[in-house]
Amino acid sequence: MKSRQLLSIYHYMLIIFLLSPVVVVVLVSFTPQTYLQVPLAKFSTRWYRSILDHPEFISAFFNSLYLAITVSLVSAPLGTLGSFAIARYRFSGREFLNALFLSPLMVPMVVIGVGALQILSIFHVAGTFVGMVLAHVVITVPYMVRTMLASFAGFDHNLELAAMNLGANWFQTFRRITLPLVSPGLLAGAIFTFIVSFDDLTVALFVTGPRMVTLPIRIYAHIEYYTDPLVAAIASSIVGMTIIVIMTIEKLVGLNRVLGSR
Amino acid sequence: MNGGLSNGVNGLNDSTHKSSRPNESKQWIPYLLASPIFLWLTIFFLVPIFFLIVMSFRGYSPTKGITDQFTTAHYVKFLTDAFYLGILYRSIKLSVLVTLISLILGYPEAYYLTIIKGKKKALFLALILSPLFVSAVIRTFGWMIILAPHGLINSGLDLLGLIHEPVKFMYSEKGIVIGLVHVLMPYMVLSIYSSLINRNMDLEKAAQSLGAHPVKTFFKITLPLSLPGILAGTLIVLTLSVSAFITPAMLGGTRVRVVPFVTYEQFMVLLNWPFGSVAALVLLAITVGIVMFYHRALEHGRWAEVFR
Amino acid sequence: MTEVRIQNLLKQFEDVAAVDHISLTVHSGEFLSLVGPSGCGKTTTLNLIAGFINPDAGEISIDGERINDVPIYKRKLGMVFQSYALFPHMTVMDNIAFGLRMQKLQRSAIVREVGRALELVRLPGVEKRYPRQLSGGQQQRIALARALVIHPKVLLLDEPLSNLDAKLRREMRIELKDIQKTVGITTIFVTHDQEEALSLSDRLAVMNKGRIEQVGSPIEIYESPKNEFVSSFIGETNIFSATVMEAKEKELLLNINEARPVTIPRPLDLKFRIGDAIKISIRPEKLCFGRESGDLTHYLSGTVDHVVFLGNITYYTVKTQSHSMSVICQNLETRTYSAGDQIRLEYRPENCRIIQAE
Repeated sequence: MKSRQLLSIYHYMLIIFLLSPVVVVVLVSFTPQTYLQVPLAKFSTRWYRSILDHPEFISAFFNSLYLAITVSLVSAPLGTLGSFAIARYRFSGREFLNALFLSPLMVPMVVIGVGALQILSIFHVAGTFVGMVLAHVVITVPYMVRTMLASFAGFDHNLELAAMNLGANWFQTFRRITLPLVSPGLLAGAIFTFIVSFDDLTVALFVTGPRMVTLPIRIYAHIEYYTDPLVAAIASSIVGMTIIVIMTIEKLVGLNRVLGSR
Repeated sequence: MNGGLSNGVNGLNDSTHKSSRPNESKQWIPYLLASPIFLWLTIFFLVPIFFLIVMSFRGYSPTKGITDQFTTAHYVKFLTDAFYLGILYRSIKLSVLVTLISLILGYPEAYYLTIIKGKKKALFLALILSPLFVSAVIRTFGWMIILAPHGLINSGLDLLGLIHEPVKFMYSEKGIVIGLVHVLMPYMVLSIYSSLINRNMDLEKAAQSLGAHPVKTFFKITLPLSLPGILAGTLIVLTLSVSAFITPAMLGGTRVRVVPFVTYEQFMVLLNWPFGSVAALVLLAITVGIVMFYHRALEHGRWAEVFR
Repeated sequence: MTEVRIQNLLKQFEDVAAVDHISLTVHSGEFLSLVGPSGCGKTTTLNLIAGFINPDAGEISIDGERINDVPIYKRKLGMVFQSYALFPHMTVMDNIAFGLRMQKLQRSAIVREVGRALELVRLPGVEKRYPRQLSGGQQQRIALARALVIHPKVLLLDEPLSNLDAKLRREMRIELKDIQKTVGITTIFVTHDQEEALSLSDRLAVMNKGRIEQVGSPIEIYESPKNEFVSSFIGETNIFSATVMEAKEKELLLNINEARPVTIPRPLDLKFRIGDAIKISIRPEKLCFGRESGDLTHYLSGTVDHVVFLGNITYYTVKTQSHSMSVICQNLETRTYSAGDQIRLEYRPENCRIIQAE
């Protein structure tokens, strides 16, 4: 069918469009020049090596890493318990809480950022690791709630009743039946949470301080002032790490299970 | 939503404990479970918005900083000054443009994804989602390279002899639109895809058996029934593009400002928190307004039937 | 009046022939059912006729004209789907009018035709409702109305009654047949329910694994099944492997490994020798419990094993020397037999059908 072939061509063009910026960044990272250019002849790893000359990026990377891990560890129980309450129980205020838990998704990040700046200043934690965690949980916990709500909704409550009928108490049921069955959703939520926190720039810009600089902020600041490919090398390294992590998850758990619950 | 709800209180209580009367003594469980997240969001999300409202009415002077006087001057300034009105207009204009382009470019892609099968489909879905795993900073940086005066596009156009001087993408609305379409289109594609993939193929066969040409079938049956996906997609893209900060900041900077950038500038550079709060609240009002408009359209609109 | 003919139709999916070189003629105005188990190819055949899929080989023609290359929307065939496929975003009126609008009919004519169609299916006045507001049975009627209103040449139905509950199914069957007879349209009906096929059709085509096993009227199919598959799929039956013991002028005596031989009429068109192996089938209702004064030749001895009382009939399982047989008796008298009773099962030779001959 001719129209199908046209559609196919269009599709491949779109894929190229979607992938081009990242591909370009990766290519530029290998340029031997000191300015941003896609290397056509010679490829060089000088900019990867020069990352080591910029310890501020390395420390920013670890800041982002610890931050994202902490935020995930906090968001996971917060979001899971909250969505469990909504999914399993009927109580007045349920609809309101449901809307509240998901509302940060609809609010502009800058608004959350400036709001966080104000409240954290009052608690004197603006610009600290703790302050950043407090702000990031706000923007990540809705993802957790969303995936866990979907997990619990797709979960046949009768399985828990069957377990108890066979003699398991509440804790045993939760550990052996509920938890394993919602773990794909839990993992998916944790991954989203990690990515949102690690990549966030907007909220971080408002809550950052000299002692708490995340990688996106470092990158952004560098781009504002310099036009060298260093940032490209850093960015490509991050992309490379992301791919490795995703492939590891695919091998261990299978991406279908994680994405399937969407 | 599901049958588990009504059984909840009964089903999950430890029957070996002292709670032998399930319904009564465990009413507080959901509240207990929800309180951590509720408290967190109230303190660090709801209360700050309230603070913003308060801040927006406080006075500001370059010399004395934020003062305690009550004033509506900031609102007046933002909503009547031609400069800021221009920025507001631009923000909305660009968002609408980005949404329309994403819709037109994204729909055929979503449709294509429903036609292909198996491994290819999984691969392409992953590819479409993949930009979302990469930080917006990195993606926009890539666009900066591509759109630069001597970047890829301009060099290519120059080589083809189509232009004599570089097209101004950087620090222009064009660049921002391209960058935002790139960032937000996956959401549109996914929304429309979920709507299309679950459709009843018999409906299209029925239409054709009644004499409708495939193109007619598409416009009378497939397209209307994919409206939920279209609406969800446009809602997401509209709100995300009007709220976008990183892409317009990097591709437009101070030369092409949008409302989120004004908020940032006022708060972090000019330290005029009251005025910055006004900008933030106007932005919030716009996004809330968009969401509410959609909900009304869904309930009462012409196409309400499709969503039942 | 339209005749549908398919010749040597082949459709393969991967390596499997879903429709394996079948040929069939559906006569003008007749109600023909394609019946068979899941996967036998009946729905594929219907889809091929409708044009939803294209055959790998073979011809489909309507009134003598080959339609293989005619696209779906030009075939003028009315189709009723198992899921009804009513357009959810359109009213009943718009649903039924859809085909008429494609034909660019005038508005007044459309209103008139839709009204007529709704009366035909006995659902007048629901034009303004939406499909979701109707019950399953009502939706089914609207689907039928929509297919018929365009005055198609042929009506195709893909298991349209499968989604209805048992009682509604039986009611709709009767209505469907009435409507078909009133309109007089050539109809092809796909079903896996053999009772449905028997009750509705002028003729049935029994299909299995992509092939047509037998085509015939309900009585022909039921009383004269050609092979083991048809006799087992349509209705219930008892099947016996037998060897020819003796060939008399008008009869054959068969050894079915019981105390007594079984007598069947000798078929004129086949030759038999002593020792030939054949299979015969005899339906449960054609066996009856014998009285002492009954037939002394054509019977078998056995013991009642199970008894299931079903109201108007009683279903027995009887154990004979080498077989376990199903017997159905109408409860004409109050006398029933119980498990353990020694009985005689009587039969008539002409009720034994040969279903497989060497």
